[in-house]
Amino acid sequence: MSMSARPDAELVRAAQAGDTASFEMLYKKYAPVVHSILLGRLPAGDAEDVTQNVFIAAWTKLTSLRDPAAFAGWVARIARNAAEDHRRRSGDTLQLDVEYATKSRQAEAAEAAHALAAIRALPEAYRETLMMRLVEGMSGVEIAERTGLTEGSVRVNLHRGMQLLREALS
Amino acid sequence: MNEEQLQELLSVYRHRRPMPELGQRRAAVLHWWLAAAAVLAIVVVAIWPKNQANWRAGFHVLRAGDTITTPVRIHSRVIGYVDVGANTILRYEGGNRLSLEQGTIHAKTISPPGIFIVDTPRARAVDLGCEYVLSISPNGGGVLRVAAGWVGLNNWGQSLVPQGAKAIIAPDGRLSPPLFEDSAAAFQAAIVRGDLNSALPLARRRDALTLINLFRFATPEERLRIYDRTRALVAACAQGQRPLGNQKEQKTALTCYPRAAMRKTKRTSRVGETMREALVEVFRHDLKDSRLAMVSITDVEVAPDLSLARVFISGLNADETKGIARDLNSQGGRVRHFLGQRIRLRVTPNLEFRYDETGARAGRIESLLQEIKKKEDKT
Repeated sequence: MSMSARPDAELVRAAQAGDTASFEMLYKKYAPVVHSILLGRLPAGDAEDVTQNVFIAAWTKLTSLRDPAAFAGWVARIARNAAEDHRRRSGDTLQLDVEYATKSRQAEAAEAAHALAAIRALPEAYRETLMMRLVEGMSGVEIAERTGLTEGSVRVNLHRGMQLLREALS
Repeated sequence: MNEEQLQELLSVYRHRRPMPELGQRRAAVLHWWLAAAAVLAIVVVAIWPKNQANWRAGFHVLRAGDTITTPVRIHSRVIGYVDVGANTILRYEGGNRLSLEQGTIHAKTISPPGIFIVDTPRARAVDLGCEYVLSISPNGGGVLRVAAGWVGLNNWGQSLVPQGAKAIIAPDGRLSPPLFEDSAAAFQAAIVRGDLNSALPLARRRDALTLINLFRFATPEERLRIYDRTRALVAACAQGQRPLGNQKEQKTALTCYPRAAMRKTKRTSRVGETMREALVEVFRHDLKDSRLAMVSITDVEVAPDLSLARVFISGLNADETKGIARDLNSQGGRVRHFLGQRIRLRVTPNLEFRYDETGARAGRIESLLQEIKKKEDKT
């Protein structure tokens, strides 16, 4: 998952000036983070849709971001708020994650949905870190870089989160 | 399961979508305008009087819950004024709502129709742009006399009372149809006691409004007589037809609230659920009736215009629950009054309590199935 060497601040400034190519680089870098945050709160199908909406909203409001270096935290906040909004709007509608997989892999899909539900039941810090690691396949360094956490914190979160997850799945 | 296996398993949920189409970003200047508009809106909301009706008695500003027991004029610059008579108990409920426990008020309004509401123990008077006098006895009965415009008087029935007419609220909550003040005293008395034989010959052309209002609760045979008399007084329109169809159909069509109008929408479901929760609290805390402890509210059906809510209740004993539903209907105004304090709706719907037969039916079907199973086992 190698990304452009250009720092976020530079990409954000260019995107604020209207450069969609720079914004696309930000999208490629942060869409997995946003998706992980949303997947921890919403059904899988909704998480995909809301991820798109978050980036459309981010593009629209980008000029209001005063500190370009704070893009990571800013877009994560938009994602958390969007998840809450979406949950409020959709009420108590229950969507099964198991339906998200193809029929040919129903048994595997059921197992995946079970694992996903177990991650969702974890505390937020572990939940988001584990989603990035297990669902998006991000390394510890990538998670640290894109969430603003230290590598040590990410390591601890992953370790404790995995421990809790194994207990939940056993 | 190790980490690699979990990664493989959960990779099905991985984010793969390309970047969405990005729309035109609004110009920064628009943001400034929007921000300015938002600030202005906040300032306006902050300085706007919280209580728009802003009722006053002299210089004293009324607060929700204030009770007036002395003759005084209360006035609001957005509603109009209300003269409170002697021996009257009137409570200000907040906003544009008053509760008249007993006594007499004379209201003259300048507000748009449907804004000013006066609750009484048995009914609700909704101002439709008018001037009226409302008198309530200690037993909950009373009379509404309209001097100008129209007033809607509601409980589980409704009487729309025009200028120069009155409606009588019986102590049990029944509403009379609108009766013109200048109609014969014998006609009025006959209508109030439900004596159609005496009332019909005494009706004048102007009393057709009263007769039309009788249709709703009349039997099919009575409807034909009312129709004939009304037609003699007022010529029917060209398409008018004497109601000679199937009597059962006529009865269903005229006495029931239209089924289609009670269809469930997202809003009515939400309001129904809110009402159900509020009614549970009303049963538990406001109504001092120990029998209600054994009653469950199974569903609340709300009409899309929020004018009527059917509350289905069930309990262990069918007969007792039916009796409770009857009692609740007889004190509909009181229940609605308590409900109005617990939910935030502009107009609290009229309540109609019904015994929910679903449970009993399900039990009956279950016993029938068991009977069939027993017979099959024997054979």
